[in-house]
Amino acid sequence: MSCSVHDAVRLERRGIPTAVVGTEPFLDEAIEQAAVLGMPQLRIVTVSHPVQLLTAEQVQQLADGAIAEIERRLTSGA
Amino acid sequence: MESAALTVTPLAGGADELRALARSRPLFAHRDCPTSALALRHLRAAGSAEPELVIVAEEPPQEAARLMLRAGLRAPVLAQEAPFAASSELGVEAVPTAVLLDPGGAERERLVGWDRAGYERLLGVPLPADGPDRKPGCGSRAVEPPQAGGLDEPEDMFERGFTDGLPVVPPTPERVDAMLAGRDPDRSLGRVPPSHGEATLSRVAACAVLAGCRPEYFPAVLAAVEAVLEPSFNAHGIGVTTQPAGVVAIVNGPARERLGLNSGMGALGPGSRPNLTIGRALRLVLTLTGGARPGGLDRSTLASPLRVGLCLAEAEERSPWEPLHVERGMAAEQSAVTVLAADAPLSVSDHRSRSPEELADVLAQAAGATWSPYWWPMDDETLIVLCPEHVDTFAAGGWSKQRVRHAIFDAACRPAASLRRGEATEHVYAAADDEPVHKWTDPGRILLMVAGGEAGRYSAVFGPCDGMGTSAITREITWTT
Amino acid sequence: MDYVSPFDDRAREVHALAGRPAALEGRRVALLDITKARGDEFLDRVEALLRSRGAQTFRIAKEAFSRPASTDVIEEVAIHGDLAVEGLAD
Repeated sequence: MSCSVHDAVRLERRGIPTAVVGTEPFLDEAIEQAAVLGMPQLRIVTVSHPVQLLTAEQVQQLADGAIAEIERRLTSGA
Repeated sequence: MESAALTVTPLAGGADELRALARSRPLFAHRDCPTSALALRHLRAAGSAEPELVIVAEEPPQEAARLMLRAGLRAPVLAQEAPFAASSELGVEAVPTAVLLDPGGAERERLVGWDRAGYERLLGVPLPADGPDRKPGCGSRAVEPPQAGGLDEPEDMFERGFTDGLPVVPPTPERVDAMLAGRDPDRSLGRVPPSHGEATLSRVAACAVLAGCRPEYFPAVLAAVEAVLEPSFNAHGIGVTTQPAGVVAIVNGPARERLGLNSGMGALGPGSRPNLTIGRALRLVLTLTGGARPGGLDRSTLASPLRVGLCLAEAEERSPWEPLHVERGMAAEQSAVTVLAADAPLSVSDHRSRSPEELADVLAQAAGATWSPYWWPMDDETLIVLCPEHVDTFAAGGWSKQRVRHAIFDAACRPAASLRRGEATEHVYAAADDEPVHKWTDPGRILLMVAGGEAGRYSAVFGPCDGMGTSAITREITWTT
Repeated sequence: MDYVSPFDDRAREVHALAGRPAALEGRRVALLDITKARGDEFLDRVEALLRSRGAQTFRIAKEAFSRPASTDVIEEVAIHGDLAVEGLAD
């Protein structure tokens, strides 16, 4: 998660709105990492944990549940 | 950390500022005085009378806040710093001292030290009856400057977060200067991930002091920090992973004796100051300067005792082979530190094997189970520490280090079908059932060194980290400043 | 008491987030796979959903999940994309 937040901060500074998707247990780490990198407003999109043992259909459902928030993170009007 | 609701105001003026406060009852206190702490705790019970008190802390604002938070007292706080003009002007020679000023600013009464009856009268409320009725105070900072080693200093280190959970040595400017020994404090070794804190020599020296290092150890600490900051070590990944990954530092060459490092009996355990403190200093740089704090950016699920830090020396004289640093390209007479990301050591007992082949097989089976018994092959490094008795078994058979390495690699081999359990690699699933699969992708992933006491046949395996893209790094230890 | 702090407490420069477009329609979205297991399946579905919302998409993968992305990968996203979705971090 930390590495993904580093990526997102670099991309945002390049003018690329970025939605990092991670599982819930990593939310507080993501908040802290964004803050120490000087971008405290950056927020990740969370999905439920764990992911490794899900069926293919369940992984799709995870994406279905997250898409609205992904869209919100990437746009101003949604 | 300080509560946002507690406001601490710097006292810029002297006693006149206090006199200007309506119904002012300034109570002078500071952090190193137990009687002040007792007074503040008792006054917490005064409830509605608290707003009439103004605590005048002889402390900088952050310390004043800590003083109040520890006492649990809510009252206006003024923070006064050297030369403590207000204390001097009001003739405050001891703390706690409470002064009752009339509306014109003239003094009507004062209480020096803890005096329960006096405070009850001053505030007009009863106070808890526990504890002493009276207790003398301590010198005010206006008359006695702060002492080094204040009563609460060890606790202060915990409160500041300057620690890994164990007590530390406070990094006073004098101790840090001694550690630096004339080096430029502002020179940086680079930014430490994951929070990119700058590893100035001053900060690295502070970590070395905190860890309990002697100044003589500092060259080893510096070399180890430089090594972990090499991009190919991937300190970022190691610092934030859910894996237990710790960092082992291995010292070779004349530095071992110069630093007093232990390579013999108990080398992986407690007892040797340089072994424990050099390893700990390195860990503190990663945790404190780099921000890989357990529970914060460090997400290691279980971690391990290795994460407190470990440094050991190789028992080069006990080994028939070339030492680790020579194998890795340095000259024998050079001093070097090799850092490696690894799991906590697994002990391997073998008291029966007579032949090198048998012993290699035992070590291979143990090493094969580290990280996971089934996630084979791994393109990651494993460190095997051979005890002297085990080394003697290999040497008696005339085996070179490379032969030992290859024998262990060859013995850690199973048919693909037997590895298809739980966490198994794509390689294993794609292979034919009877295809031989090794623990590692290459024998070169096995690092070998010699350490331990003369008696006892226990070697140790430091298992790999998975997919961190981390490599062991060797750096020379230099003694110049 | 004065101590030498091991922390780098210097105030950090704060950076604003990038400006957001009003909608996804017509935007190029980079799907950056950090290459942990199941991430590609997740991004497959996200990609399909983004396309149904009118976005154009392309896929790109990091070299290693255990490090920040290389400069090359960041450049690739910044040059060819307007927006990015990175995942799946677990």
